[in-house]
Amino acid sequence: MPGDRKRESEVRAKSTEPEWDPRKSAAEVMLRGLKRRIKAAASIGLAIAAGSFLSLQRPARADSTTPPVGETKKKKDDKTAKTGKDKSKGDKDKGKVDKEEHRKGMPVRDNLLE
Amino acid sequence: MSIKVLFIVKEIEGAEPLGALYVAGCLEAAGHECRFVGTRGNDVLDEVDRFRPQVVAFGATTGLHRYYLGLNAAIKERHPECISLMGGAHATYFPEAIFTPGLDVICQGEGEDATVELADAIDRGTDYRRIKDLWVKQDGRVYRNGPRELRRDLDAIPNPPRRLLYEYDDALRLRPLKSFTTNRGCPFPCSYCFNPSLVEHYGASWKKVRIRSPEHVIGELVAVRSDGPLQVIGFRESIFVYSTQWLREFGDMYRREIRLPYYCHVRADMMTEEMVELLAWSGCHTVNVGIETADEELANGVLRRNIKMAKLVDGIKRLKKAGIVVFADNILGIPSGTLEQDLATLQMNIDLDVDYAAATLCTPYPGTGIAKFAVDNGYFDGNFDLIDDSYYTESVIKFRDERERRKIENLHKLFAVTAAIPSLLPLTKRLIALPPNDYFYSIFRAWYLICHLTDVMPRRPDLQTLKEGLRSVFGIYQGTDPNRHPMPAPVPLPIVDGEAAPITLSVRPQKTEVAHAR
Repeated sequence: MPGDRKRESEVRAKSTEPEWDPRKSAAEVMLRGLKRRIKAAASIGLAIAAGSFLSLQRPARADSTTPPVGETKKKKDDKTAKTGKDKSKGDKDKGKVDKEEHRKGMPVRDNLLE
Repeated sequence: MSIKVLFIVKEIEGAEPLGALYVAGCLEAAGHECRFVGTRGNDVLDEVDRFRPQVVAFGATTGLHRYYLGLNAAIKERHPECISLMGGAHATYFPEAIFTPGLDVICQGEGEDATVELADAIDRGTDYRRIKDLWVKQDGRVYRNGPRELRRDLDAIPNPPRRLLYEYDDALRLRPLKSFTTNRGCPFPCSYCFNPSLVEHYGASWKKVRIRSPEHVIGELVAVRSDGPLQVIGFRESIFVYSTQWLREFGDMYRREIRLPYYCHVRADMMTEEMVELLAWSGCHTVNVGIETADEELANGVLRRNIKMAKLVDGIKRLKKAGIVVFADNILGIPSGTLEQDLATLQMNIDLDVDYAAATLCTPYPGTGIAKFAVDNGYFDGNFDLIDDSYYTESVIKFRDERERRKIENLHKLFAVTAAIPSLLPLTKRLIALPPNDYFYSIFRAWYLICHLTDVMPRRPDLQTLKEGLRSVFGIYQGTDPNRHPMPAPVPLPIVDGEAAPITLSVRPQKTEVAHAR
C-alpha cells in the first residue's frame, strides 16, 4: 500500500527480487498520448485499404443472404424464415470475405466491448 | 450415479464464458460430468451424438438467443430425450423464451444451485418442476418458480473449471489474457444495464454487493497462471472496487504474488485520490469507465445513472493523472436524445483525452428500464426479435428522421478515431451524412484492433493474433459455423405458478399472449 512503500522498498532491496512499480510517469503518459495519435492515423490508412478491398468484393457477394448496408434486420429475418436456413456465413468456405461478420464481429477475440 | 451436461458456447474463442463455467464447477462438485463445445468449425449435433448428454445447456444474450434456440431445436429434433436448459441474460430478462419449441428449462439469475438441483433430480428420476429460479416446460404447461436466496459467501463457490475449455481446445489455454470476477451485484439502477432486472428477480438483496476475499481471488489467479501463459488479467464484474480496504489488501497480495497488468471496470465518480493511487500501485493498467453521455439530464433521467457529471470528470482526470489507461464507454442514439447530444459526448471524450472512446448504439433489451421508456414513449415498437446480436451495426430506436438515424449510426463508427485525433471532428461531422459504407466499418475495427493490442491490453506481439486481427479488418474470416438453424416460432402455453411470488418484468413483447392456469 502506498503508505508502506518505503518499508516495502527496503524489504525488496534486501531480497533478490526487483521492485515492481507498475505506475507510469507523466512523461510516459504524454508519450503514450502522442503515439496514440500516430497509431490512430495509421489505422485510418489501414481502414482505407480495407474499405477499398471490401468495396471491390461487392459483386462477388451478389448471391449472399447478407443484406446491403443499411437494410433492416427485419428483412433478413424474414428471408431466413422463408429459406429455412440462414446461410449468411455458416456455409461459406474457409477464409472468405464475410461482410456481415465484418459489421458485427470485433477484430480481437478478447475484446472489451462484449 | 451422475448425468452428463454439454455446454454449448458460441464464440468460445472469445472471453471465457465465466457464468457457464461457474455452473459447471458446481455440477462437477456434485459429481456430474460436464463438457464444453464451441460452434465455429464444429458440428454441435455430432458432438451431441458422441457425448450423449442428458442435458444440453447454453447461456444467451438477447440477439444471440435466436442462434441458440435454432440450434437447440435441431438438437431436440435428433435427440428428443435430451433436456435443454437456457440461462444467461436473455433467460433472466425474458423467461417467456421457454415458449420456444424444443426448450425445456429456463434458469433466471445465478444458475449454480438451481442447475445442480435440476441435474440431481434428473439423475434420481424425480420431479424437477418445482425448483426455484427455473421455469420448466412439461406436459403442455410451463411451471414457473420464484427466486431463491442469493449465496452470500462467494468464496464457497468452486472456481470456474477452465480445464473444460482447454480440453475442448488447448489454444484457449495459451491465450495471454484471461478473465476473472471478484464480486457480484450492483447497487446502481442504470436503465440500460441488466442489474436492475436481477433486482426485480432477487429483490433488494441483489443490490448488496457480494465480494470475494482477496485471498480467494489471488488463489484463483495463481492457479490459472500455473495452467498456462498469462500476460494481462481482465476483471469483468460491473464495478471492480467498492472499498479501499479491500483494494489495499488485494493490492498487497497482488503485488507479491501476481505482478501483471490488469484491466477492470470502475465508476469514475467513485474514484477518490486514495482509490486511484491504490489502483495504480496495485498494477491496474486500464480502467473501463462509463461516460455514456455528456448530458447530465439524459444521464440521470432516461439512463438513471445517479451521477454528478462534475464528479465523473474529476474521477477520469485523476485516473489519467495516475497514468492509468482510460477506456471510456459511451452510448449513442439514446431514446429522446439527439445527434447534438451525441456530438457533445464525443467532445467530452476529446476534452478528457481518454485513451479509447468506445461507443455502442443504445439497445433496449427486454426487461431493462430503457426498453420500458422507449416503448412507452414510442421510440421502439417492443419487438425484441429485431434486436441484433451486435450493437455495433444499426439501431432499433426510432429517431426524428432517417437522416438523423444515418448520422448517429455513422458517428458510432467514427467516434473512437475522432476522439483520438480531435482535428478530424469537422470532417467527421460532414462524413456522417454519407450513406453507411465499408470504410466506416473498417475504421471502427482498425482503430479498435491497434489500440486494443498496444494500449488497452498490451501483450507481447503474437503473430497469430495480429494476423487474425488484420484479416478481420479486411472482412476475411476463417472457420465456418455449421450450426445455424432457424428459431421456431414460440407457442404460448398455460403457466402454473409455484408457491413463490410470480416474477413480473417491466416490458414484454407485444405479440406473446399467455394463458394463465393454476
